[in-house]
Amino acid sequence: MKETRENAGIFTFALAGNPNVGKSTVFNELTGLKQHTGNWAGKTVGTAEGTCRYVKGKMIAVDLPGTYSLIPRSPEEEVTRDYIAFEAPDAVLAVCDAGCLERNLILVLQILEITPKTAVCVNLVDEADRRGISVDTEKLSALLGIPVLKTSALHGRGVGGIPAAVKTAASLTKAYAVTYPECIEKAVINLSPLAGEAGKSKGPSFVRWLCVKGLEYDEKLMIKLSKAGMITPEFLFYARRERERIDAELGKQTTLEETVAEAYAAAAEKIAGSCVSSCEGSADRRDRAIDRVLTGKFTGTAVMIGLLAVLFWITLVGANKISDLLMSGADALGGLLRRATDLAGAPEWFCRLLCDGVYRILAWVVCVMLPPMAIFFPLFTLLEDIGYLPRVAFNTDGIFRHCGACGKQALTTCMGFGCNAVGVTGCRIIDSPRERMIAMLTNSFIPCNGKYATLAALLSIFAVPIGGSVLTAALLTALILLGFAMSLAASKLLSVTFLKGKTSSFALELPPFRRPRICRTLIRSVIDRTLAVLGRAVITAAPAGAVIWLLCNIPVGDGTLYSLCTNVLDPAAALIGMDGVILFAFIAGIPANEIVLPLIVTGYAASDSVIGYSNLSQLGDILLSSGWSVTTAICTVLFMLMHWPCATTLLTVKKETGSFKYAAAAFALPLTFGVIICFFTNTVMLILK
Amino acid sequence: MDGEEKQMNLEKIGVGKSARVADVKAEESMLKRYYDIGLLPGTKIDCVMQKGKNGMRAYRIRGAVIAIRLNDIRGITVFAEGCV
Repeated sequence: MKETRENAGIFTFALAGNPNVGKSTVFNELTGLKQHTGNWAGKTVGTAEGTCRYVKGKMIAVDLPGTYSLIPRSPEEEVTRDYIAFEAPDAVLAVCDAGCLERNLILVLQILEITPKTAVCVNLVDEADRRGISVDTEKLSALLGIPVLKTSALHGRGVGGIPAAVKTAASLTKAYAVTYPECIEKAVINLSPLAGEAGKSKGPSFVRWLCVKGLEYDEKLMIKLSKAGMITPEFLFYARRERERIDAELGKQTTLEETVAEAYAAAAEKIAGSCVSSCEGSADRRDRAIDRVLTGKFTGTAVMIGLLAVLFWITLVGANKISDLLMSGADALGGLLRRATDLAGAPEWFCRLLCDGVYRILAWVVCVMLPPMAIFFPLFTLLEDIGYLPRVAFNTDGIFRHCGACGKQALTTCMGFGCNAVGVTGCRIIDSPRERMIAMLTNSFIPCNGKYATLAALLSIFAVPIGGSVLTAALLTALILLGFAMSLAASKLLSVTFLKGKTSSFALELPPFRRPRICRTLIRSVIDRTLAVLGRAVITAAPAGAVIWLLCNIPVGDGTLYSLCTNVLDPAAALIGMDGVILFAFIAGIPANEIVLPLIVTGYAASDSVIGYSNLSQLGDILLSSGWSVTTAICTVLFMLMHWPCATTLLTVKKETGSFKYAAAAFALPLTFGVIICFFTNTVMLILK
Repeated sequence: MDGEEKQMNLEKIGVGKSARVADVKAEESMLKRYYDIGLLPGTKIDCVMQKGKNGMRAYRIRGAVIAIRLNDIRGITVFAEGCV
């Protein structure tokens, strides 16, 4: 968040706004960056910074986390308030949802109290139009005394006017100010002269804000303001005296906080009332009709599971074809590489290290792991864009409540589908520390894209030839539901043991359904994810492949270093229905789950001479000829679903909680479940035999 | 507003019904949340969805649809206003 040296002196503006008003989309349009966006509250966590080029040069845009108000209840909202109040950007761009202007204005009015150097961007006007809502931005601009512009960032409309608007805003010294009831206004007059010099230098509206904050007396903020020299000790003393006077005057019927909130709401209502014309009806009725199906007593669950199953089926069918295609290509390329290294006259061991170690594992990652990810995640992103995820949270809240968890955990769980590390960071949307911890520790029960792709690939190999793709998709759905059920069981377990406590309250916004931009979403997420996955694959898989090959080719006694390792692991692995090679791959796969299956195959294949690979069933043959039984396959799948999260996720838990203890818990919790379940499965299978 | 109007708990307002908030009581963090979204005495509020008997309720408040747990709305009293 600190300005870097090279950026010092460059015009900087911050984007603030309610959650889910398309702030990140505006930011992406402005900067050309690719912040992930989605139609639900709390998508952006932490700040992002990007350079925005326009005709007269460049400026820096800072995307702040979405917040409903500048009176923070969570660390996220504190980030936004503190940035605006203390980092003093040259201007603030308040992004609003045209379809919900009144509520959005509450935040705008609070921003204006801190700084009049603000421009308002009324976003999502297309969507509001369709809903029969139109905003008179000229009138709004006149009432607020600041630049206001209309945008539809998703379609790139109106965003071009933002640089000029924030430049104009930067020179403003005065804007609309909320009027409080008499007793508070009196306190503002009394306290104003006592503000610190650093506060006074920011102008009268800022001093007014300081006074109201002084009356609210948020200890943490008071310390920050004192340190910044914005308030004086006398100010603090008299602020408390004034507060006592106001409390006495207001009596028991209401509180200062409520009175202040009412002042914002009343002003917002008045302004919105004169700028917004609405003949909403049909669009709203349509949304409610869709909601009745998506959240209905039986239809809600049916749609949820049905959608997952259909997504999985599309993924399995599509990925199989692409995998086979890629594999024949990779096989040919591998032959070329081998001939090229031979021609170059490289030593034999180096050729083999490169071709059998590094290249082969890279090829596995790309051919087997990439296709399911490249198909599933764009589709999942579409669901996110439409606004389906908050409905899932609405549907599943009852279960989470019974498990002593926050209903928003459904959202972080869904994020875990993409990446557990992202899911863990996303837990910041949960206010209660206890419930946030539960959500973080249980996130990795949901297979991230690496695990998911492994599961999809293993099921493709073993289940599709027997049961066809429909049955396999059903199996995969059942598996994911098992992961979900286990995450709930673990949540319940934590909430009655180590993380005991009262369930806290929260409000979940259900945004209107948005028409997604299908092509754009598909292309973007395929390209972004493809590149990201390829990058990660090269970084983690290549050295892992080299190491495995070396281990396999360093003789120790009768065997190799590799067989020594796997032999050591064999007895333990046998208990949970696997073998040393598999367990070794899981351990070596800590950097990224994508490489576990390729490591297993490489492990088996490296001890053999070259094996051709031109389709998925040959991959299955390698596994079968290496002694895999039904039990091995089931246990590997279950262990893939429940073992430790990847290193990135563990580091994220450490970062988010500031404690190794919790990172260790995030490691041990799914592992314990996985070991118990695999041990049980293995034992049952042995008895059945 | 008519002082004679009958106050009742928000949970009594079923789907499709509308009400005006009379009083908002909640534990501190939730109270602040209510203030943020503009749920205050005098605010008009429509019940738009309900998940089962004890599940979440969703209300239209100042143009936004907000879902809240049944437990959390127990402190909110309203004046019923009939259908939306």
